[in-house]
Amino acid sequence: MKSLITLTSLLLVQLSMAAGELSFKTKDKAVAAAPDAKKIEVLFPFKNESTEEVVVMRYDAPCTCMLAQLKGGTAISKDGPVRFAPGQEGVFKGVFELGNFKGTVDKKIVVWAKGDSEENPSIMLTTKVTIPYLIAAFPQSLLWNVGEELKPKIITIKVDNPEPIKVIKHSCSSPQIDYTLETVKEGFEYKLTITPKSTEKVLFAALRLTTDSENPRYKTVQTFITIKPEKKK
Amino acid sequence: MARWIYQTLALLVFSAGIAFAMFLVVGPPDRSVPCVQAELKESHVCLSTVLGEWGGNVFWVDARSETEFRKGHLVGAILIPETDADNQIAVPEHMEQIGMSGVNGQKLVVYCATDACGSSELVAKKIRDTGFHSEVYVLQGGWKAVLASEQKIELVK
Repeated sequence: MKSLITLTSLLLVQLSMAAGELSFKTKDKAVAAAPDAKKIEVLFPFKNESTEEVVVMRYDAPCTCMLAQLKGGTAISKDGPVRFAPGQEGVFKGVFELGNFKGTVDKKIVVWAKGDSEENPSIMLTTKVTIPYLIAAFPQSLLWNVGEELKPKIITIKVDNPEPIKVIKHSCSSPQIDYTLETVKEGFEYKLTITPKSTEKVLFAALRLTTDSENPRYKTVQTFITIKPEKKK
Repeated sequence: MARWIYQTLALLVFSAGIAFAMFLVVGPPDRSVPCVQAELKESHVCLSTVLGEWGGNVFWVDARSETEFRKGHLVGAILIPETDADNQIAVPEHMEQIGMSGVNGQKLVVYCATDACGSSELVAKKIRDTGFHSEVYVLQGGWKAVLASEQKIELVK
């Protein structure tokens, strides 16, 4: 009898420690956003394919631009842990506010299941969002070394869109920079020729072009100018 | 049955006593964010490397939200939230500070809330693209690593 009680106790302890697992079709998603998209929603469906109950203790999107939601399961308390019985399905939803983002950015939803330490959440769901550049500068920055010859350098502005995006205004943060803006093809290609007035002093400046785009994401294009001492090798 | 319950309770009390004694002797559990510099990407840096090898002499850029920044940030850090990074980088004061930190030999380290936030990666890339600074790093573990650090680090609260 005594050994039976001990065995049962051990079994109970082991059962309570055995961790079930949620199975996801994928934990990494790549999403291409439309140029005018303001937000995107990404779904991560899952199923508890283990024989044990899985409890999602909490989840978080550690970026103010992303909101994480969980659907399915049985909530143990309001805004508290959510229980998933064996075979039960659910879905994590990430809503990503794109703001004026351009380019590629990784955003994550972090999930703590029962038994996970604060430092090591067991589930990490990643969304790689790509937002196209419809207008961009090549290169985006120019460098002169201090004392370098005052030779002009060129930045090309290209539009990668069937509809034209016209540059309607331009300004430089520093009066120490001379520049001219030339239209190569109205609405599609421009050429900036930039020459510092002097390379004697260190300078960090931005040259901003404003476009006629109604989409705030493509309203401005910034290029940067640096004059700094040559880096010692 | 009653004996079994008493024995189980006695074991629980004994375990709790041992745990408490360990807490008194060893101290609280280590909550620091594990970080091994050799295992990181070249563009990432451990807080221990910043404070140890680099002597803390870095220029900090905070890529979190303004609300989080106001609650507390590293001394000397400037705020460049990812949602407004393009505009904030081009603020003349910020351009000067970023550029001059490089000229003065300081490395630039960007942090966000945790490893999972992704904002520091994005802001670091945007700063690299300006060409103002050639040594731009992302702090592994972000703000969470700062709060968990056992090494003394100055904060603005």
